[in-house]
Amino acid sequence: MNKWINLLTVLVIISCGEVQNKFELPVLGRPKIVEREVNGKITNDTIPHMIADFSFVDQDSAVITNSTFDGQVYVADFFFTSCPTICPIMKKQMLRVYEAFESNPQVALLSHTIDPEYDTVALLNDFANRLGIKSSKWHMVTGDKEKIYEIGETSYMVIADEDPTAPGGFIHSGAFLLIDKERQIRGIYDGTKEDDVNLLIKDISRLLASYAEE
Amino acid sequence: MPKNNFFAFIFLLITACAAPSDKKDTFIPDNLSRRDKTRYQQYLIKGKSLYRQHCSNCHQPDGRGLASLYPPLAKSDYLMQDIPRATCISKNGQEGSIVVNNKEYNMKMPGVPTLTNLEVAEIMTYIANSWGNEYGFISVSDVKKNLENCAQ
Ligand code: HEC
Repeated sequence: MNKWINLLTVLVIISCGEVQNKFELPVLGRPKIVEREVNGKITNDTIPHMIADFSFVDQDSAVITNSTFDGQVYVADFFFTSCPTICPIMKKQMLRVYEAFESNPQVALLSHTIDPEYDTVALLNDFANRLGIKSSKWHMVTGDKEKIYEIGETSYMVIADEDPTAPGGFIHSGAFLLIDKERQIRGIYDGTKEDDVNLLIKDISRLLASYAEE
Repeated sequence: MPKNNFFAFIFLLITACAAPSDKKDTFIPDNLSRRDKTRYQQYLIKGKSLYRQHCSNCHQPDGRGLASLYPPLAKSDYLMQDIPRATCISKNGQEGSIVVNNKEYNMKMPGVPTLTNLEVAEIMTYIANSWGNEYGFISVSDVKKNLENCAQ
């Protein structure tokens, strides 16, 4: 009996794995339903969840908006440079994503500081240089605090908040988000876990491949 | 004594699992008394788990640091040349430009003010005797003395 269950599990795993490989990445987020009147009749439109308009400044003082990523997929996260807990791990993992796609112009990275008062452009510039990264590929942005928290919560759906009791004074998630060329979320990964980031690297390739097929 | 047995068992478990890499990674001085030797080994084990909890996010589990952001502790001249100074940094943090192994670093390291003297001694003993570092035992009274003399 036990044997059968084991066999079944193995089968399920194998078949899931196969399906997953062929499957398109899901589009994540809560779609919005909007009512619209067409010829006097009320119809419902479903608008997929999209990253809202934004405008921040990166480590080179360049203005970064949605159109910076035209024709690119990008990975977004939230951090702050003085964070003692998960950020250093996240940056180490993000560096792996950076290295995997360093020479691919279709992939970019976007790290938002959630401590813009301390993380000025100059500080982010220094941080990026010390990490040894190119600003054309990996934008580390600062900006209006309210706007950063708002986009974190409503667009990327990660939690970021000030919390004096947390180490470093902020509480936030270690998520990496994969955003496609249509501003949609296609995957959420734990940026502190090597395995999850391996999957992200695979998923980026799969997402790019889906564009190549079109 | 069942309690002793229990600790011996845990100790065995830990050393058994960690043995292959740790044996050559950790320095065991041979001039310690039997009592200090046991204590030293306990410090290494406790120190490692405290290091993983408080330090390795930045300095990395292998002590090699990350790019030019976080300096290495493994074979760090800055650490090994001045253990009292490093003791102060471990507890109180550090800010400003420093040079470690001919490379400049300049980021803020937050301290861990909640560490007790015993915990600092365990962490210091671990980092000063791992990954090629060879200093020897750092006792609680060493730590107490060093922390009293920290530059403010
Ligand atoms: C948030 C990241 C972070 C954490 C966590 C951290 N450090 Fe550091 N550490 C740094 C940085 C950055 C420096 C360099 C400071 C400077 O530029 O002045 C440093 C410097 C040091 C130095 C002196 C330089 C060297 O490489 O020898 C020692 C020793 C040290 N840290 C030990 C520790 C110990 C022990 C812990 C855990 C109790 C710890 N650190 C936790 C970031 C960190």
